[in-house]
Amino acid sequence: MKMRICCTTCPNECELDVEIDENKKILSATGNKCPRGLAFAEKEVVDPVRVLASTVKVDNGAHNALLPVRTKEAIPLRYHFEVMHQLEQMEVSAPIQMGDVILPNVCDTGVDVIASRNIR
Amino acid sequence: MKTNYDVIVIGGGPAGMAAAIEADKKGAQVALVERNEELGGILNQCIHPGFGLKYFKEELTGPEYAQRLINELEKTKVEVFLSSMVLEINHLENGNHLVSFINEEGRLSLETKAIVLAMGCRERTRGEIKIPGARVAGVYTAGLAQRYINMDNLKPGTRFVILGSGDIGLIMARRLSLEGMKVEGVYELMPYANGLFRNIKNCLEDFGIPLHLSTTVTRVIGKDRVEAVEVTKVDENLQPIDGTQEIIPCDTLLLSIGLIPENEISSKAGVALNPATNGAIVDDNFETSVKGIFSCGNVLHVHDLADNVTQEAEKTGRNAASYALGETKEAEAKLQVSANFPIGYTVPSTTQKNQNASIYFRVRKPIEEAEMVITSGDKEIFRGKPRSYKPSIMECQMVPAKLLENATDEITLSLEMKESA
Repeated sequence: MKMRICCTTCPNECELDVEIDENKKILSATGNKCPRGLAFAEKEVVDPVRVLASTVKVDNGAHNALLPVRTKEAIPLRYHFEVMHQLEQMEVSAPIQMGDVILPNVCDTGVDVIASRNIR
Repeated sequence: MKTNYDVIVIGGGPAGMAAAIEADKKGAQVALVERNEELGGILNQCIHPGFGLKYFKEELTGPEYAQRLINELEKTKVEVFLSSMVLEINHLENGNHLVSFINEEGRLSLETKAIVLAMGCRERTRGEIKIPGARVAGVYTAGLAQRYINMDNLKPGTRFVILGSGDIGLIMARRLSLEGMKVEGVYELMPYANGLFRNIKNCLEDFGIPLHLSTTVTRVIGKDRVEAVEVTKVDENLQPIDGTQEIIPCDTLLLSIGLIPENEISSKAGVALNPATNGAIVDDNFETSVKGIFSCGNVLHVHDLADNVTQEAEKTGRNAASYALGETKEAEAKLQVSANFPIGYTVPSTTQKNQNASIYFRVRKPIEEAEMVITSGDKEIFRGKPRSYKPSIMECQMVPAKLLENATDEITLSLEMKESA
């Protein structure tokens, strides 16, 4: 099977044309300017991962009703709706510092959800 | 209260903050005036990742990118005026400028030697493209819906159609899907997508949202609220093809149809604008047609990446400080910079003979393979390698000073097509 993949490792955004077999092993890949593209493609065809960004309610922010958050690293796309559901239940209180852990080890991925900004 | 500055920066987004930080580093006395109640500008509502790969060498969200600049700014002596709306710029007889703004304390006027215009853009609205049909609730610009959802905890609708495949529209398609709202499809007038390829992939394909090219919204239907939109395919002249109409039930139409630099204050101050960008005409120092007034960021020309905005603004901030501190040398030999279609515009409009030039531009249509050719008079002074060009990507052509030695008083950028798309 043939697939077109956009490597998002760096701003070059190489577009790769990859061919995979029935076990999702890459047979050929073209279009990547560096080896990181191939590493990205290997992950992408098996279990795509993305950084998830969303918001969490703030109960006392001066100007801010919501705190923007994100997963510290990319997590499998298949967990994104589950994480959204968990974040929806949460409420946090200011003060908050950028980088504070809001939800640790989300879905047992070993990745934390962290605050994207300070809230006073 | 201090009423005299070297540099006043108007706007506290990524451009304004970067300009203020750099002007301060050069030893200028700097004030920054921001309309909003907090710094960060539009970055605060862009909660998605994808920022900073170039400038910070890591992937950040919009608020993180803003926070890093805010943290830098807090280390400086820059005086920040929040919730302050600039009304006008006046010119004084001593060559300085007077910036007048209002805030809760009333009207304030500050004198300054230099100004950096960094007000950013606003979104184009329904009126701009004259979509016929009912005048009903439920038609939003994508950025406004983004603010409602990401900052104000408001839900603008439940079933969406998005018009325009610009990055804001694509990002919103993903955001709405994640928040449990239904996106029926993204419709794009042009035969190609306007946003970055990564966003088509990660925002539409990940969520199974269809992208309909060469299709536009031709009617809004509803009584008090949007009930449906009519979409129609368009021909190569972008005219609707009769008989291809389709009714898409929805309760909300989001418009992601482009940005307009907010240059009302600039125009009133006599700053000449470039009709191709709606931004100021600037020289290689990012100085406008009015001495001492500089411009950078999205109010100058629309960028795709905040990283590029920051770098441009840093240069502009340093230049504004140099001007204010009397360190600027008069340009020796100015070169007019122009471009031929399909290059839509260039920033800057002039450069100098004895300096390396960085010329930013954008193409008006996708080019499969072309060579960048720079001519001066009838002499060719530069020819690049053949490559592709996309309207969604702002390009930068470097021209070393050595090549400009042979130039007359102008240079022209052209793309020589190998094979047009």
